[in-house]
Amino acid sequence: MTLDRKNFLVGTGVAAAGAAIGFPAIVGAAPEPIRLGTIPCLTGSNALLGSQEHDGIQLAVEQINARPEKVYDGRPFEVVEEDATNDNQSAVSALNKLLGENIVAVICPVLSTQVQAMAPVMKSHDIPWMTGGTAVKNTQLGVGGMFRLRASDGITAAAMTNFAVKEKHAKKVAILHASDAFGTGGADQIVQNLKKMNMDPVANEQYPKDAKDFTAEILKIKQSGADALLMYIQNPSDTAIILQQLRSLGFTPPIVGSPSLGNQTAMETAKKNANGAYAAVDFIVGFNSNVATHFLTSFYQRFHHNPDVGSGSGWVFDSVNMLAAVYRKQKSTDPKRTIASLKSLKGFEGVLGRFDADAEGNMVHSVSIGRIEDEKLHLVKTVSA
Amino acid sequence: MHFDPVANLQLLVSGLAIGSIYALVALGFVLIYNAVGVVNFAQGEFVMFPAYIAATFALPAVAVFGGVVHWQLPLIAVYLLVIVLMVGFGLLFNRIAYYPLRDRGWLPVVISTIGVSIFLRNLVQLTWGSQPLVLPPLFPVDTIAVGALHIRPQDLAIIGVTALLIAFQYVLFERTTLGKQMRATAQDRTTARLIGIRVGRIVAITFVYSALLGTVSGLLVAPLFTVTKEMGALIALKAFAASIVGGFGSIPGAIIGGLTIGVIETFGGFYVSSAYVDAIAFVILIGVLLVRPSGLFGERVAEKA
Amino acid sequence: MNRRVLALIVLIVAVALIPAVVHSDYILTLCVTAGIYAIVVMGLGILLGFTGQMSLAQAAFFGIGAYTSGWLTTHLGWPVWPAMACAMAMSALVALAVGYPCLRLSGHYLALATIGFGIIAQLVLINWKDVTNGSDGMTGIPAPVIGPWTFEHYNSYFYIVLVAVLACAYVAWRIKTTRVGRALEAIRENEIAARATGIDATRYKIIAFVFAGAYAGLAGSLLAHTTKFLSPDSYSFDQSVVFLVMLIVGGSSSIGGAILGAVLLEFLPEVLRPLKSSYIMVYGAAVVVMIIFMPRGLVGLFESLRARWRRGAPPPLGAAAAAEAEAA
Repeated sequence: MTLDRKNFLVGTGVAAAGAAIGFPAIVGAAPEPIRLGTIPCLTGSNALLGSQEHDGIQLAVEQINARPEKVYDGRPFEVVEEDATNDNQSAVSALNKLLGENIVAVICPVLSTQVQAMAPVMKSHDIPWMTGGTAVKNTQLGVGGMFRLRASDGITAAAMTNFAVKEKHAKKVAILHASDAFGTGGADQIVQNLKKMNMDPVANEQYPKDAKDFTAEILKIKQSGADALLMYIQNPSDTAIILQQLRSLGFTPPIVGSPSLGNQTAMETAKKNANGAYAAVDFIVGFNSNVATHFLTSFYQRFHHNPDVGSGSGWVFDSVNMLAAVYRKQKSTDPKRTIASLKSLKGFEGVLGRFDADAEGNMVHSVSIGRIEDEKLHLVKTVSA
Repeated sequence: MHFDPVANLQLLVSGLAIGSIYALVALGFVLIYNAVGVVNFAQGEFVMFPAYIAATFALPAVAVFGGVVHWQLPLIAVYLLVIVLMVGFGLLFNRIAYYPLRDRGWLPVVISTIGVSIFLRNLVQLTWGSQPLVLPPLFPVDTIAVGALHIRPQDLAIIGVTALLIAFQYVLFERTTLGKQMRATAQDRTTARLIGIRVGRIVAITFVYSALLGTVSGLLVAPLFTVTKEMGALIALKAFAASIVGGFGSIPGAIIGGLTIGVIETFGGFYVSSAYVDAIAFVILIGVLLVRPSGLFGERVAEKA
Repeated sequence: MNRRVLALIVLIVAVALIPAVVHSDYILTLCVTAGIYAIVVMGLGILLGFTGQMSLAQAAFFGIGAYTSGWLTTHLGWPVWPAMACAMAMSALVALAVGYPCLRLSGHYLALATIGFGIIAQLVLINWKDVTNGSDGMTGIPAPVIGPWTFEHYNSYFYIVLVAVLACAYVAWRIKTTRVGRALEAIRENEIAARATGIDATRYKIIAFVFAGAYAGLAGSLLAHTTKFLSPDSYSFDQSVVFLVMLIVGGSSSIGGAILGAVLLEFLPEVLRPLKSSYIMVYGAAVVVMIIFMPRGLVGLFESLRARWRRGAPPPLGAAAAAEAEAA
């Protein structure tokens, strides 16, 4: 297209004339969209988490914008998305880019280190920050508008430990975890919970990133005489490889995993090797609520596969709907009012269950223990903190 | 910790299995290094890419570009298809990443292979998404119990195929004209050209062969490691270390180096610390380099430029 | 005053005006990061560009600097400036300890030894929890203060980084243009010949390695006091590769090339962001294209363009396209 100045002027003139005749009545009535910022990790080694975050937000926004009143008064959501990549520095740039885009709230990446890297920038902006990062300290960073829509590692690790010791009567608990922040943070929480019961782990094995052979770790755990194994591992591929090697090396005691073990991707990757393992997940296993059933069916129709509910698409779907509900109620997107409303929010019904905000901004206070059979979770019990 | 003979034997078996994989990938490094004097930083992608292609043809349902394909071809057909495609891949790689830079020393080629590696990892993510794919193993059973020892048939296949390929490579290099031409090119390209060897073609064949070695490793490890875009990254780095421990440019060196690193890593992970297991491999590497810069089996002391 | 110096002064003044003109935090963060990376890359330039010795451990020295500075300010409560000096010294010291044995190696061997050191250093950052706080990361690192001013925000931090970049560039330029630089160049061109003329090649190579480490250490400290959070995943092998690519794309034996490469490759992915999830793929392809079509890096490209311009050859592609557009 050749656009020179003359053409441009003519074009503008025509548009201006059209506007003068009567278009403004329609154009001016188009309600202003509500700009929602998101920073998933779309590239790099955590791209799986990012793509699930992207899908969950997209689904929620499409559903809300399809309603006649949209969010409220006909105002739709408009998503502004920037890639957090894999790296803290790029995540901070992405955040700074977003903050220049006139957004009213941000859905953060699920990686806790990235949330912490962004915290110094977040502190100087009074808008709601919705996070799915489970590290306990995410809500203790001094960021006013931080809300966590998942169970913290503190709650999950306590549930895992209690289940192994009290229900499975384990006397010798072993831990296997990844070397990233999620794995080490979770393992520390397990150790603390064991301490409360006057126990120490008989083995606490950490494997390096991208490891493919776990014979050494598994044999050490076997030799320690462990009668239960607690795993804190995010990566579904690592989870699958470890479960396969545990099985082929003849490890038989009960295995209790972090929420990531109960993720659809992990179960589908591990296939039969995950059978019989337990996972502590921060959603209601069995999905008996209408919201959850609706989410699962519409997600499948839209993306042709089952979602990872906890760390993946569920918490962001809930974040978008929670913000929409607050905006609808207060008929405003004013960030400070929104933060106040979120802080006093009680009994919001989401995919993950019931959300009640506490003083720190934690919204989820219970986890379920599920047993994996044939790539599905079966509810064993629900634990409230 | 008490000494447990079964555990030690188990560690040895696993170490040899993972070491064989390092050795296979190291062979790919050494071939290209010998032919053109550069290290291919995309060697890990030579392992990962064929695994994705195989998964696409082999699995009942695979998401490709947002759609879903259901080819589910028999494994033999899949393997043949992957091999044909990877021959093309090797030629293309040579043409794009090496050929335009052939007269510019080793560093530009290293950078261009890094560029290709970044490109391929993200191409794979864009095409197949980020969900790990699972290729079925060649054997229906997971594990054979030999006394108290647990052995995976897939590990035996890896060790067996590595041995076969070494034998094949020996015959190729020692007994065939092509192999002799490859060796001559590796030793001295100018002379090779003078005696009538078509060096450009030999180099292209080397890249294809290296891509095929990657393919074999990729197909063998995919059922054990799952198919992800990072599956080749650390293996390639360890294989690079293995090829240097053994003596860069030496084929028996690459094999011994790979097996050594594999075994020491598993024992180190057990007896020392699993958190530092990658450090163990590289401490050995630096130690070997310092004591014997030409590696365990290196013939040349001087760096080939 | 000759024209080059004048041009340089104009350029520096123009860069110094950026925070006055640009108010976007986003652009300013990128400028700060690019400046910090430029320092690391200049250090690598002294080692690889001047001396011809490869290192893939720059990210490790970068991390050592960042953590030293972070630890001294958060655990011991030191002010930022002495901590920054210590960070630089610490990285230099580790570089000395690593370089002394490793620089007997060359080429691919040296590359791999440095990769090995980089991986070990990252594992230490992950596992030495008492000091580094492990994968969880180190928080609460303070911003630098001079008298009544706290350099908290990007628009003031920008100047700290700018001064550091200029100082580092000046030191690198002094190295290049003095006896040391000529010795380094002799080693790069032919080590055996250099030794024959009485140059203590090992010593000079170690000097270059120590400078590379010190530069990376300073840059790491600068990063620590602007991001205020450190986690070990930022100091990976991949990050070392990024530094290497920056140097080669910029032009390895030129100081301007090192800076230009760092700036370009920091901004390139950001410019490509609108391509959504395919942008890193395009970035990878762009690296291959640049390395093929710009044999001497960006600096080489500029020089050849300028030479063509002076010869009165037809103007380059961009200018031709602009002239064409005007005519239509």
